[in-house]
Amino acid sequence: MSAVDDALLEELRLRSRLNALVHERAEALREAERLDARATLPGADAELSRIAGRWRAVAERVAAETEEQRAALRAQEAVVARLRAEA
Amino acid sequence: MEAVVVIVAVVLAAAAGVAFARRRGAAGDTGGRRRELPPLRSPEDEQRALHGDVRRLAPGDAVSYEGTDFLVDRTMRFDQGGYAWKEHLLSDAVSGRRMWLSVEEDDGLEVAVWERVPEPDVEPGPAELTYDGRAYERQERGSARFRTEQTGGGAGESGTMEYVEYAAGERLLVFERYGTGAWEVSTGRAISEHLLDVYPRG
Repeated sequence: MSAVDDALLEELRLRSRLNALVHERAEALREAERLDARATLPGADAELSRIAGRWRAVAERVAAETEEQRAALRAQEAVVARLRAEA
Repeated sequence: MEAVVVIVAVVLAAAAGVAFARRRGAAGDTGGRRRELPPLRSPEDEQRALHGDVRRLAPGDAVSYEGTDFLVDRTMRFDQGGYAWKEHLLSDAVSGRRMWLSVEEDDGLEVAVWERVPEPDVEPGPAELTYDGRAYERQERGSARFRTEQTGGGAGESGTMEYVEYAAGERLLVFERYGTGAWEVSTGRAISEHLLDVYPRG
């Protein structure tokens, strides 16, 4: 495989990782919302709001990792563009 | 003796003819099989290779647009007498915002983003209509077959729909009616595909 192919594969890996992170964040937020709604019901477990907060914290961590991966993707796109120009 | 010579000559000539025909056939086969050439790559193809190909969007893919990461919840495929286009329902888990992204190839790739009007107070029909203080002109109307694809690959819906599309400069307004349902109204605008960053599902 050429250097361009290697660089494109790495870019594809980063895009795939970003896709997984967007899904993870959405799932964490959905779970937090579900538990928040359940916490408002009569007789709800007092722990539910706390657990919902933990899911929101997960979503925030995933959001931070998403930005890191996005920056890595931008850098990788530059590598691909440079290698293509040199090829 | 002469007869034997004639017969041998005829047999040899026939054998030579068969051999020639076989060679020609073999050469013809080789010459007829065209070598597959890689398709030409346009500047747009180069960009799509870098930023993802919006033409291949499918449920489960993620799309970044204007600083928001959307997930493709659902894809609707339309077919109007062989002319095909797609619309993707994008949703943002953070804000709950939902919008549609239409993708069609007609003298180039046409991409537009659409947002549904919650309680429309307009009806399609006239060649011109005013909505939200803007004068729109009718661009096209028609009907198409549709089928949906959703995340998880569950069985989608299918049927027929009608549409009427209006434009006011870059602003778009579309009316869609599925089956015998009420008219659904969306406003939209055309965008460059390069504003989108596609993260395909691995």
